[in-house]
Amino acid sequence: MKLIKIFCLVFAFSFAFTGCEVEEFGNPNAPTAEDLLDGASLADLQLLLSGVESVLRNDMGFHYNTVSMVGREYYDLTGTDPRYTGELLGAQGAILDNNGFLTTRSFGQVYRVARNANNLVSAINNSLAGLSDAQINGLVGVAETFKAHSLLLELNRQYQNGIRVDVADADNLGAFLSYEGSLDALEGVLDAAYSQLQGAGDAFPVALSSGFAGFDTPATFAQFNRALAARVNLYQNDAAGLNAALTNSFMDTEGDMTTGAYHVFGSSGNDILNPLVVVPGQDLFMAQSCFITDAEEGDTRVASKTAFLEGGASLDGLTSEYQVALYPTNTTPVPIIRNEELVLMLAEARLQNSDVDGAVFALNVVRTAAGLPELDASTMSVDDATNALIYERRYSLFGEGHRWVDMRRWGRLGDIKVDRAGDVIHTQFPRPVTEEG
Amino acid sequence: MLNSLLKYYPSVSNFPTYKSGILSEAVSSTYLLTTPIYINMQFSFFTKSNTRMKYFAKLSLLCAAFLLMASAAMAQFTANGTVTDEDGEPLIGATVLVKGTAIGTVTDFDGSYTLSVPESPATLVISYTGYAGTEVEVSSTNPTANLALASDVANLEEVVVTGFASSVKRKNLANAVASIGSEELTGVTSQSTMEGSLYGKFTGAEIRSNSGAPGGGMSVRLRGVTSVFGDQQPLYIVDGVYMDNKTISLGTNIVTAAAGGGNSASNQDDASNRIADLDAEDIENIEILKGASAAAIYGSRAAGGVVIITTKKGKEGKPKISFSQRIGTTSAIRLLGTRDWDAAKVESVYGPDAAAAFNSNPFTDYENELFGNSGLLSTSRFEVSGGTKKTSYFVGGTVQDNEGIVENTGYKKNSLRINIGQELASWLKLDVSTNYIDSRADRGLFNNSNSNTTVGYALAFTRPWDVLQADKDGVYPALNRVGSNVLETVNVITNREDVNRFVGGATLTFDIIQNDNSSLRLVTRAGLDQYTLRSTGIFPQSLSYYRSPGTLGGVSVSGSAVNQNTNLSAFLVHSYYTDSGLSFTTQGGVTQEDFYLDRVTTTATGLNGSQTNVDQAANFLTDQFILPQQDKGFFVQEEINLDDKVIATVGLRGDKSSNNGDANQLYFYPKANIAVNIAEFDGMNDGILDQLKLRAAYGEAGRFANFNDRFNAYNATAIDGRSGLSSSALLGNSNVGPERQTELEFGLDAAILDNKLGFSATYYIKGVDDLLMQQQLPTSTGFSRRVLNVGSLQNRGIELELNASPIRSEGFNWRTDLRWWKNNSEITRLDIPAFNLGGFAASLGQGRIEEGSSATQLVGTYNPADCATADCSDLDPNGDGFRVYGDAEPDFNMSWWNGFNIGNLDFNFLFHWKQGSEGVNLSTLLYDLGNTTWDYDDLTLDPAGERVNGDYRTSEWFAGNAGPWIEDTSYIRLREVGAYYTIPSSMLGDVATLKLGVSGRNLINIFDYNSYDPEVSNFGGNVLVNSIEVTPFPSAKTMNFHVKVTF
Repeated sequence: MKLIKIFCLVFAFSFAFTGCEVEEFGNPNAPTAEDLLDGASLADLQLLLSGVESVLRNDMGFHYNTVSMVGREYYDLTGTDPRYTGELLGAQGAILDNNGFLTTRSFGQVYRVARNANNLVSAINNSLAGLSDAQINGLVGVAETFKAHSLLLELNRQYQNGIRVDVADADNLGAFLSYEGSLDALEGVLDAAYSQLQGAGDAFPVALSSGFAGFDTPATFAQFNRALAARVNLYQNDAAGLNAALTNSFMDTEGDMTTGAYHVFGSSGNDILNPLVVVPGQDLFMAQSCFITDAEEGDTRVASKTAFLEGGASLDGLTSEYQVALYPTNTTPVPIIRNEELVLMLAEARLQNSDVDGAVFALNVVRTAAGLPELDASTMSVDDATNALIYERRYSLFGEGHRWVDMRRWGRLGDIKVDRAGDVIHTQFPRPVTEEG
Repeated sequence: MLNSLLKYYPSVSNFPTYKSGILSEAVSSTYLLTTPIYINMQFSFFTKSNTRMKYFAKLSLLCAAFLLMASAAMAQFTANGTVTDEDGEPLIGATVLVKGTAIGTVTDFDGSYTLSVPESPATLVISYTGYAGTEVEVSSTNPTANLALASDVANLEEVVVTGFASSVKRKNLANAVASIGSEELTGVTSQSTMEGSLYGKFTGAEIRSNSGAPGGGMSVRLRGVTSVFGDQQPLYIVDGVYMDNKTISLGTNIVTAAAGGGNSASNQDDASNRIADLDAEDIENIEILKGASAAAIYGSRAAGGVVIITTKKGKEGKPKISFSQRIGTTSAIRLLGTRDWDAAKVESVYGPDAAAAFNSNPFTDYENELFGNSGLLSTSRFEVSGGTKKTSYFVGGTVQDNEGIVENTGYKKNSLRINIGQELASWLKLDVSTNYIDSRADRGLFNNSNSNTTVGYALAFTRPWDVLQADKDGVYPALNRVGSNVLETVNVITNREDVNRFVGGATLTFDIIQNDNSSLRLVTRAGLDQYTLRSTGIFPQSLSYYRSPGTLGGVSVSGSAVNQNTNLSAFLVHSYYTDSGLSFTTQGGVTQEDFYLDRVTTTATGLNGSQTNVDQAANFLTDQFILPQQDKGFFVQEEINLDDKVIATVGLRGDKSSNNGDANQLYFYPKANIAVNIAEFDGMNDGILDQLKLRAAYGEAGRFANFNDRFNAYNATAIDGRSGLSSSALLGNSNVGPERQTELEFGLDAAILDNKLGFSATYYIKGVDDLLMQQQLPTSTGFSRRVLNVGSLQNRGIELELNASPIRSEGFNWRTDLRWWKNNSEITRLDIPAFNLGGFAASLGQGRIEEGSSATQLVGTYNPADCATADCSDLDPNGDGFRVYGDAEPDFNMSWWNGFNIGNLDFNFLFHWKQGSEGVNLSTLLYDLGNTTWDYDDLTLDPAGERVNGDYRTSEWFAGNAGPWIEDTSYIRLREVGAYYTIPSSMLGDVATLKLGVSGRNLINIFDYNSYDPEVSNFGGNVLVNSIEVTPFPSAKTMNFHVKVTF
């Protein structure tokens, strides 16, 4: 009897290694939401702000490429994914898949920005960094402006489907708004951010990237905010609002067309490369042929934005001899919004008031920069000026996500040249399947 | 309580005579009996932990006293004799046991035994694995019994290891546990990997290879799918060591962009799985616990089933030395060919420039250039084994060097195993197994790519008149329209896995009590499995697609994954016999497992000229992933055996894991089973019926949540030289718990005509509750998913097996096994909306999880014009926009093994038939888009007979029809065939026996699938939807010549 007991104890002894408790591991790979959103330090806030700015760029290639291709600015003839020349171009009436990456990647990216911006706002509000009210205003203004920019990109894709704007609480999302309602809501976000930026003192407590050089103080960032507001007002056909927003933006008819806020890229560490770069002679992202043939003689924008490819490229019945050449290196910045677009918005605002002279003045600013002769306003009707505006926006903003949106809001999608019989031009992207039900 | 229990078993405290030698562990625990006492003891020892040391110090003294008592016992008489097979060859290690007691011995090198028998007369029970057992009466006046055992087709006497420390005779088993011995495993033909050797050899399994790349990459599913997002793979236990079977990403995604940009880890890069390291030739036996009813004792790790592997051990006798050499070749199962081109067709497809090139350039069949080669296979194997009464040893070494069919691919492995058993005292035995493996796999670059850089992908766009050959300076021309040059890729890049692995285990067995009617044994075990996997990806700056500025400028990926599993366990097994033939086996114990993976991948881009070292580069990205896990559990079980007539078992496992939301919550997994051997009942054994067993088993098992499921982690990002943090797409769930599997299994086993004909049938219902589902969150939350325990699925299946030995004669033996099995799964509950998963998009074929449907169904979009009804309810009854095109799960599997033995000639073959499964073939999609499909101009698909195949598929697809990509993946294969001639030692001067042979693998493949092989997976083996093909490494067949010398 005793022996049995002894052996049982040996048994127990051999298990001295095992207590009853299992070790609870934290996450050894990354900080978690609990670590960051409650009691963030100033360094944490910097990390989160850089995070938002960084996420703004993730998957942006999907947005710009799909929108540019639907708008027939350029094609992907690499053949890496058949959907770029099939589904996206409405080949034989193909519809866009509401669960395919053409739809979902950009949608997801936009709302990741919104998530991170909202998280930044709650981190700011629960911070232990001892921020002043002005500093809080400034950072919240930045976060909200980024969020609005990102959501506006998706609204351009979703169009009449509308979008959700209030997404702060993951378990209690705001409703989908109509297109107009969405624009109004984004205008509200931008306006609120604008007023916060005006009460934000002289400097932000943490730094923005060099892509915001010239827009890195509350006062100058507010000009960027107004530039975005101008876009919203443009889509709203709100000429008065547009004029006011442009006035408070960084628009400068005498300034450099490229002045603006940019996404910047890097090749080291966790940074990402410019996803829109087209390697000469290699990546077959090909401009629509008529972009070359429709151009006015001497338009420098053709040569600066496309490059002749020996032998050309063709795929699936699509052919072109010109590669897209917007970004010469894989760290070339991509504009978020820049002066050239603002000047063109000025022209459009003036046209909305039938001010042909004023509009042509603005168009000539852009034309001069493109090496083209000035137009003579005295010989032009509103329609002539409108056609000139369409041309300038097409060439000035090539590949920057505008042509399809512009032609749609002008009711001119049918004017876009289709290169292949049976193709259709999609009016909007479907609402992702994950948003249904 | 303890005392009151002991009253029932007074003999436990009497320490009566100790009779004979140690039995082999396997047999003894079956026959030795037990009381339920130690369950109580286990509870009590925790309270006495402070006195453990003191008691332990007295242990050796007490043990010595115990042994003295034992040796003082008196023997009534000594029985003796020899045990041979039917041909009179001695059987070494056969078990001889006095019926109704724990007294026994094993036969020696000459097949002889001597055994002290307490009373006269007595019945001896003789058993030996692979032979039908028998009983014989001996007495003090007639103590000699010589026996010849007949071979046992139904394997009734085979001992099946079913748990941590116990085993059961197959005859008494209540589960359909598959058991595969070394002869079956590797005796017919050589095997590339351990799992590869299992194809078709047991019922209830779906084994598939993810690609033809050398070095493995396989998945095993036992009795259907057992999870939606979890790992489907079984747990592998090798000599008690939890052997890791991870698939670790190679980090080539930066080049291939298969999973989109930015991910350094992807499951599309065709990595191998780590159980491939285990050398199939080291294996003595594999037992497969297919579901929870058999595997419940492994608790939360057993949901995928458990594969228990026992490696070879030495046997008493003079050293047995063998050397074998295999030389073989491997070649593609099939080549697909090229499209028939003529100048007019080229011009119409690609334009006049291409037609001019077509007319002037040489015509090269690049598929044949790449895949038309054969690779050389060489394996050298060395084994030494032997032992004395107290010591046994086994040494096995393998040097394997297999080329792949693609240039610069291949698999090399060096494996050394040393297994030693030592009897430290008559009551204490130590078994140590060690295995060191050094392997290298050059995998090539295949599967999906979004940058057209994989060989398969680029080949789809390469035309026979394209000039890919390097110029005189060795510079390969760039092919703009293709993205990469396949010849360059094959010749220039490196994509390699190097593994150094040590697997070691030690088992210490204390026979604490061993007497006439009871025994108590303590089995303690420790195991270690550690490996370092280095992945090397070199994509030099000289590659045509990395030459220009603005490209990545060359990529070097250096990954290092260190994985360590350790496991510790201790079990007490108590066996107790009563005179009435009733016996009890009680066991209880505790286990602890620790797992740790640390993977660091450094990716360098912008390489300095021709440099490949990751520090010779302009840009670096380092990624670290750590995966810790700790599990603790206990297990108790009681088995009651009524004279081998009725065997009933109940047991309970409890488990905790750091992977659960609450690490210290204990999850319980019960089991119960019963087997009734009708043939053992009086009057039933009439000489024809050797076995008739009815069995039923129930058990539960689990699967842990993934470690990361609890966390909303923030990923590191950077912009402009400044670090940032951004929320990941996974919303954490702090309440996540394990999945729970419940399995109920019924079966019947029968054997007749001297065990010449055996039959086994099993029906099972296997349900999984609390399925971990990735709840798809509205994308507008900024998250994509959250893991919740919100679903159930059920598998029902039938497994039939017929074993026969139709001809059994001196010069000619024929054995045949016919197996048939099927499984149907159904999602029985889903608390979140139905969702698609796997694959790329609904228009390209995906899986879909929806209540009431098969878990492995394949759906896709359809062309509304194809609908017969206005609302499309004929194609889309649910109105969800998806049509069901098929199911990855086959209607049934069937295999047929035959073994002929004609004198010294052995001939074996194994057919495997899989019927009625579907898969997604996206290789044809890519070839169609490249206009290069081999069958592009055939007219076999369009029901209207108008569009040629290539046009038909793409135009249907443009119209929304995913159907052209979903194909039948049924096949019939001659999995294995081998013929061997043995020259007996008598003809070689008694020095050695020589075995010569020729064998083949997958020599016959019949399938109607429009690519290399219906059995591939672009996404590896660990995903539910593992039947999607994207330009894989083509599968191969092998032929081997064998020479084996045994001294």
